[in-house]
Amino acid sequence: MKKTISIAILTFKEAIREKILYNLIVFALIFIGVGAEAAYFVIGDWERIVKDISLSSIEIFGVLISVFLGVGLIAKEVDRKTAYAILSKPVSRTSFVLGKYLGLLMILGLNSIIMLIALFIALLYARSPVEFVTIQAFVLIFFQFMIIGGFALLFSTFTTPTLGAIISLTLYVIGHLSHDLQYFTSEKFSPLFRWVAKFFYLTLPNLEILNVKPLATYSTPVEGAYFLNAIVYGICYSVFLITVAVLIFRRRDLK
Amino acid sequence: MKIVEINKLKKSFRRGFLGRRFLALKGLSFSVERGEVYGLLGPNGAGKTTTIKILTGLLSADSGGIKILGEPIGAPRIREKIGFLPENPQFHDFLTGEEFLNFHSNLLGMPRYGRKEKIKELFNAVGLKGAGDLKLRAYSKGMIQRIGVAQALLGEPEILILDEPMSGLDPIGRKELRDIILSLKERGKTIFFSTHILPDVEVICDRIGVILNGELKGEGKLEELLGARIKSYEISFRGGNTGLIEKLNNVSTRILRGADQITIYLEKEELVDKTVQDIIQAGGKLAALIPHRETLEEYFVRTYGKEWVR
Repeated sequence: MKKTISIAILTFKEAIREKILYNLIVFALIFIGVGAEAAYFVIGDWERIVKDISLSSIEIFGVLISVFLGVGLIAKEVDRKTAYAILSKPVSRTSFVLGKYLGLLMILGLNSIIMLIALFIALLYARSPVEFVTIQAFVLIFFQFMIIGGFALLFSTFTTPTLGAIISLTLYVIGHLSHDLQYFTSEKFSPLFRWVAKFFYLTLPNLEILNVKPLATYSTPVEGAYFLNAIVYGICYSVFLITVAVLIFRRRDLK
Repeated sequence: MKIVEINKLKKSFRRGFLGRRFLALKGLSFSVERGEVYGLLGPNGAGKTTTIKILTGLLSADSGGIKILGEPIGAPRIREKIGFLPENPQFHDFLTGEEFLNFHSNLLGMPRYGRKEKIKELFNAVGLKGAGDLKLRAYSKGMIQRIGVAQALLGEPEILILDEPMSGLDPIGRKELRDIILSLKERGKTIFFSTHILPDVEVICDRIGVILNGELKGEGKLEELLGARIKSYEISFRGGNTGLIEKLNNVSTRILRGADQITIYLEKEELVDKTVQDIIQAGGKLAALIPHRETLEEYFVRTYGKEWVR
């Protein structure tokens, strides 16, 4: 475990030097700030729009950070051969992958704390109280980062960062269209089409489970049981992705 | 005692668009004894790095066996016994030298107590005294190679595996690294390294293995391979009558005339006694008689020249 933590800290130290991280954080903060100000001039519920813009900005920029950092985690280590000295030590490939993922979660956690502070400031500016459902929405967004970061890491074990980023972002979009996939499993369609739709519905991530932004926007409470189920879903899906990543990387020859 | 035993090792890679199999190692077998410096020699693409990567767990073999201190490789804990310097090593360059060695100490599970002193000792041993606070991106190639040796030495491994350690270094860098390896040899370390730079091998290695196209073509101690064969004899003398040079022209391969000394080269041993007698009888004074042994480079050109080029 100590080796995994050492690799995680190294990953965190390396990621924190990435310019893209700062660029995306700054963009997110600008979006939240400008959104909060602009919403004032929009006819309607200022508070609601501020929450909507802030949570959406946190999600979109957080997902971009998860993908752009995640896709390079293992691919770059192998390409630059920095992994050679590490993996020739008594370090298992499992520890290496877990350490990389843990490092990614550390940087995503730091990013989330910065975003949360920005959200609180925006809400304060909009004279809106910080509701529990807003925090719940924020927590579930973090679990989306975990899943998308998990996908990025998985692709990082066997493909290029560019291809990995494209597929991960596509999966993020598809993950929010799960209800449409479910529609294609209805009796209206041919059995083969239904089977294919059902396969993708069951295997691809259902990120809508982790999306309670609309409820947070309208200050509608989220049931505790649903919230816990959503967290369990996020953890299980992330564990599944990291397990697959470990299985692939354990078999990979570092040429 | 055998530290490394490699037995009928085979490894293939897929190549090209159609993924045709290419056999990089064709049943390679050799062993490395405790305390010796073993050099695996071969041209680029011969299979040296593939062998080393299998030894260090970076590649998996198709078939064949590798044992380190009698235990088959596979489990990560076996790698505690190995110190490895990759070819053209790249490390996380945002770390300082000290942070880098500290990180690798963590990977080896080394205790924190006494670690700082150990790291300091290693910096001194590889000639990087005072460079611990510098970031690795400020290190020269020679310094990177030396800190690479230092990370390989962490945890007192049973065997040091160095993949092309001299590659890409300038003459001074090469000499410095050669001196480090020689000092490790003096301390009784077992070293296994690959190279295609032959002059270094003559100075460092106890035993060599020659790998060509994935097969071991020859193996032995350097003195066995080179010791017996004398390539030529050099005879230097002063004086002598005019007929002597004409006589020597018929037997020698080369004559060099200096200001007060003449040097001739003979290839055949049986001509030496007779030539010396002729020089003395002609009034010459013998200055030196030097037998020239074959260099490793010449041995290679003679023995493996055609295959090496291929």
